[in-house]
Amino acid sequence: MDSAPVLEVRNLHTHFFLRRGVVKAVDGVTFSLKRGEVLGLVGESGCGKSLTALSILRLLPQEAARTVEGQVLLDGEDLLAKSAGEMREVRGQRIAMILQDPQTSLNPVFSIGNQLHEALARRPDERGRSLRERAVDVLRQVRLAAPEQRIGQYPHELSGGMKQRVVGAIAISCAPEVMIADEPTTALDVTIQLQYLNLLKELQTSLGMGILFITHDFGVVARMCDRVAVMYAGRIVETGPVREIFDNPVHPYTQALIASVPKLRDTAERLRAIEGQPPALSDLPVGCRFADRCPHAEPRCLEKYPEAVSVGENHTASCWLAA
Amino acid sequence: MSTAPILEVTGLEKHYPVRKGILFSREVGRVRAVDGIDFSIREGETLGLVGESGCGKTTTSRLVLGLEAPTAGDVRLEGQSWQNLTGKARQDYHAKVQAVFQDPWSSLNPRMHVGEIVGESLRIAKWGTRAEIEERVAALLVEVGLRPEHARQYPHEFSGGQRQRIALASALAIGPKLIVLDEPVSALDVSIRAQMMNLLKDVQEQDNVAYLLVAHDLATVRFMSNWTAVMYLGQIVEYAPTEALFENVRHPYTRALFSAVLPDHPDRQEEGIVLTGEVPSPLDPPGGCRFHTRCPFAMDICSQVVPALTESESGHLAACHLEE
Repeated sequence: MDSAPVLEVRNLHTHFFLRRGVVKAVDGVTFSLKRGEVLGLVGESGCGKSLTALSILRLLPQEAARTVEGQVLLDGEDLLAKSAGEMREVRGQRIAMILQDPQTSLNPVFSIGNQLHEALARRPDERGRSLRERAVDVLRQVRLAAPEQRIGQYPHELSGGMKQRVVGAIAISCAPEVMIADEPTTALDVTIQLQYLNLLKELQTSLGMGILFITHDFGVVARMCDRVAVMYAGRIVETGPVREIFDNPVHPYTQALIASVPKLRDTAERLRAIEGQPPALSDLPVGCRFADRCPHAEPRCLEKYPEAVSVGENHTASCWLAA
Repeated sequence: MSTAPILEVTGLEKHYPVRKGILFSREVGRVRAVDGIDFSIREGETLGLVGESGCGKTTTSRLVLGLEAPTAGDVRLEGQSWQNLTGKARQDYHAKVQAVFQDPWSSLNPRMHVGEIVGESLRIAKWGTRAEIEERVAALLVEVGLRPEHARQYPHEFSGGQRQRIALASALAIGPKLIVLDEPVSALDVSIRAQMMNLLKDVQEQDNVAYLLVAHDLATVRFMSNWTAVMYLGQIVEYAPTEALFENVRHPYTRALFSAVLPDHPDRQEEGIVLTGEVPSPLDPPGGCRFHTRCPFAMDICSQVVPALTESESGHLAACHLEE
C-alpha cells in the first residue's frame, strides 16, 4: 500500500460567489489517494464532499463556483493548470465518475450500446475488436445479464440496479486510474446495493484503480474503504485507516456520527443524537466549526481553528482536545 | 399493552389494471401491488413494514390512509372500515389517521407558513377559535422541538430535519390514533436521523399514538417497532414481534435482507445469503412461493404450492415450505 499517490488534492478552496456573499463550500481540503486504494470521503449533505469531486474534474457550475486556491495532482500533473481541451482527455479516460442517480446520468434517448460506444470510441482498441464487441465485453465485466440484448435497449427498459451497472461499465470502459463514486448506491435497494458494492470492489481489484468513494453511510465505509476522510463544513476534520476510525475515532464529530447510527444488534432505547445543525457556509465561525454542537467544547475551540495533528499511524485529526 | 388492536387489516388487496388501446381498451394484465395481507396494530404500538421498493409497502400505507380504495379486503380503524363512511364520519376517520411522508421538501406547501400548515387540520375540523388554534400550534411546535415563533416562517427557511418536525407537528395536531410514517428519516442526514427517531419515540410515549412505519432499513425498524412485517412482492412473508424476529429469522428472504445490511465495523463483514437477480415483476409474479426464483433453498414444492403463514412460537409467523 506504500505506492505513490495517483491523486493528490492540496489545500483546495472552492467558493461560490453569490450576490449575498461568498459561500466557502470547500475550504482547504487536502488528501491523497493511492493506486488500488479506496478512500472514503464521509460527511453530511452540504459539507462539500460532492463539490470536492466536481472541483477535481473541473465540472463546477459555471460563473457561480470557482476554485480559488489549491492543487489537484494526477500522477504529479496539476489538473487545475490544464487547458479545457487537455481536461477533456482526463475526464472519463483517466478519472471516471459514477453519480448517485442512474436515472439521470444515462441519456434516455440513446440506446445502452450507443452510450457505451461514445466512451469506447475515445480510445482505440489494442486487440482490434469492433466497438460492439468491446461494449458487450465491458457489460460482461459489470455482470449485466444477456449483454448482447441489452446493447439495443434503452435506459427505461432496465431496472435501477441494471442502469447503475451500465453507468459502471461506461466508467471502466477506458480503464481509468481513478474512479470517483459519488453515493453510487444511495438510490438502490438494499439487496441490490450489496451486489453493486461487491462488483465495485471486484472491478477495483482487477483494474487496480484508486477509488474516491463519497458517502454518508458508515456501513458503506466499513464494507468498502481502506482509508477514511471525514468532512465537516468544508474541511476534513479527521483522516485515518478505516479500522482506526472505527475503533479509535478522535474527533468528536466522527465519534458522534458513528454513535448516532442505529445498529442492527443494538437494542438501545435511545439513539445518541448530535443536537443542532451544521453552521452556514456563508458565515463560518473563526474557531472549530463543530464547536457549537460539540459536547467537549472549550473556550479555545471558539477562538482558533485547530490544525490537523497526528494522533496515530497515518491518523490525523483537527481537534484541540487531540493536540 | 395488551389492548384490542386499533387498526385491523384483513385480506387486503390492491391490483392495478394494465390496459392496452384507447377506444376499445381492454385489460391485458394486473399489477398485484398488494396481494392479500393481514396485520393489526395496537394502541400506542409501532408496526414496521420492511421490504424492497416495489414490494407494496407504500401502497399498503396509502390504503390504510384511505388515499386509495382496495380491490378487496378491509382496513378497519377502531372496528370501522372507512369505505363504508361518508361525509362527517369519513372526515373523522381521516382525522384519526395522519401521515408523515418521506420527503419534507415536497410534503409541505411552500406558500403556507408553518402556522397555517400545522393548524390546517384544526381549521378544517373547526376545532376552536383562531386564538385557540394558534395556541395549540405553538404547543405542538414546542413538542416537536421547534419554537413558537417559527409559526410565522415559511418551509423554505428550514432545514430537512426541521421540516420533518413540522410535518410531524401537523400530523399530530388533530390528535390522531395512528400515524403512517413512510420512510420518515431516509431523506434526512445521518446526524439528523437520530434526533428525529428519538423525537418520534418521545411523541409516541407522550401522546400514545400508534405508528405504521414503512421503512427499508432494518436497524431503523428494530429501533422503532414493537412488531415487524416483512413484505415481498405484495405479500407478507414474515410477521413477528420485533425482538423475536431479530433473534430468530425464519424466512430466507428476511435472512437475505439481514445479510444485505452493511456492517457496523470493517471486521464484522457478514457473509450470509447474497441474492442474485432482481425482484420479479408484480405484473406476473412467480407461481407458488413468490420468492422461489431467488431463493437459494428452493425445492420443487416451492414453485407449485403457495406456502401459508405458520406460527412457530408465540406470534411469530412465516410463510416458507422449509419449515414444514
